[in-house]
Amino acid sequence: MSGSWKAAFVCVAVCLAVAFPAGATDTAMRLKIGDKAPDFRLRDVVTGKTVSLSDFSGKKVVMLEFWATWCDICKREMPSLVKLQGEWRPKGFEILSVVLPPEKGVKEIAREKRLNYAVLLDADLTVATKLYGLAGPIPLKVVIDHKGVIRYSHVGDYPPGENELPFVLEDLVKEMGKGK
Amino acid sequence: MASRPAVSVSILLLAAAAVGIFLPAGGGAASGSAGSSSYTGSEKCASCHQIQYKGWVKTFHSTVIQDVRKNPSAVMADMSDPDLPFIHFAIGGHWDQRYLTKLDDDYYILPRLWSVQSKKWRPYSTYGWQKRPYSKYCIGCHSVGFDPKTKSFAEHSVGCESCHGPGEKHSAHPGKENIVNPKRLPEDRSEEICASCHVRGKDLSGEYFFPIGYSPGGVLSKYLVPLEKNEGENDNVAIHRIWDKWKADREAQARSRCEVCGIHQTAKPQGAQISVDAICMSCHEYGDKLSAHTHHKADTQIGCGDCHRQKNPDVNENKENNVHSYSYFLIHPQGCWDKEVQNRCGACHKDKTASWAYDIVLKWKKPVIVDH
Repeated sequence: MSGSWKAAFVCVAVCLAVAFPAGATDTAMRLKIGDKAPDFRLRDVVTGKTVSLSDFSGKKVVMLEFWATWCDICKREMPSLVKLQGEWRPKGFEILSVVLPPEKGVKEIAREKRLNYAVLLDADLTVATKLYGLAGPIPLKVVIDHKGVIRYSHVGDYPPGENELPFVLEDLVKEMGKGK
Repeated sequence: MASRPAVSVSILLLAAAAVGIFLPAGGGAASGSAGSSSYTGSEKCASCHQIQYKGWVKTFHSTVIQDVRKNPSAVMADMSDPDLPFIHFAIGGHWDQRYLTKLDDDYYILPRLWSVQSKKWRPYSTYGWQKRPYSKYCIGCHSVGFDPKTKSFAEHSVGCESCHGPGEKHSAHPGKENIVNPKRLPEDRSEEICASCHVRGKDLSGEYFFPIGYSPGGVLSKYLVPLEKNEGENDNVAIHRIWDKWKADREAQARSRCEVCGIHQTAKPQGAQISVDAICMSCHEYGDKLSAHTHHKADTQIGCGDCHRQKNPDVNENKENNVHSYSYFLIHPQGCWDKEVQNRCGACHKDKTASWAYDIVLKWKKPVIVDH
């Protein structure tokens, strides 16, 4: 590579870093990448226990998965989320799914899909709309690092081979291990 | 609907080229140099097989990737954003178009794609895009004869030899014995040609996301481990299950007019309108319940657009959060129905009034609660 093209490459790399900060535009909520994730308490429809986001602070990388019983895409991707939870939970990861109303049918879906993660009912949409400012499509994924900062979000499911959550989790779990 | 933007992208690109913002072609993953001397290229095939060639040229296979320096008009996106980096290649253009830029010695898909439908940029692989080099994730299915050792290939498209295998010998001495004809293969071998790219998987090394070493007519499961295997399923069964579903989905949704790969049927030309129903059904899996939803018999051929109207081509930009838009669906503060649906009944029921229609849809417990 000639010197001028090396310079061009460096320029490209810098431009790209500036133009495309990771995840900055991939959000369908009021909160942005880098914002502190608001804490909440919701009831797990399956276990009946109350779960707080802050329970995981400092201990886990958390992914919120906003879904609803009427969302076909949400239901279709559940097996891959179950697999993700199974693979990454031992490394310090936890999925908290936040289900929007109606409650009817949630338990049945959780049982049928063998969900191995929390199914938290946001009965009055307080968490979804007021706290997180969800104003777009679901499913919406919001990945929060162990310090409680939103680091990644994604609307929709992933086509086969295009799931980038492993990249995200690899980085964030590593950060947590290093105590960054 | 899927028409190209009126923005003079070509002029923008030419201007960009003029000020030297493109990196040079050649070398690396998308060099275009011959990956194998046993390939001859689609242009050469055309010298004898003109009808087939002309059919193929109209398909998206021929333009699955395009060098925007050679063909600036291939770019469908609004490139006026000054923050956009250099782009070298455009990928696709059917539903979305994605763009390759070069970092070091490989290419990467930009973390935003151009939505052909909404004519807007959308985020794409925002976090991991720099971890997906084109030479490992994509090129095997966007080129003919990719050689991982040299990172070279024979032709940059899904060309004739993608399905017929290397054609140099056939070109020199035309005959049935020295070229693969998918029609003469056993059905499973024939379909595996398509499945080699339309079933997502990894090669046996796990390094590449396409079947390194596979050639048309071969047994695909010897080269590809599918990503979505069911428990206890072997590779071959999984490949055919996934392929069958892919094919059935496309046919059911009328998203392609292909007989497997399409070139012998009337090809859907680029820019042709994608049916509204096809877009809806890509998310709404009504199956045999569609008639119950529409309250019309199937033979009326009533379509989604007969009742649901599109108010805004991009629901994300729609402040009214209206459901009748081609996109994902929102949480709808106002509820999920079209309050004016009865006004559209008269398009067919010309002898009826809007109040008659309103009463009818009320009996259906509508207007119109969609299935979400």
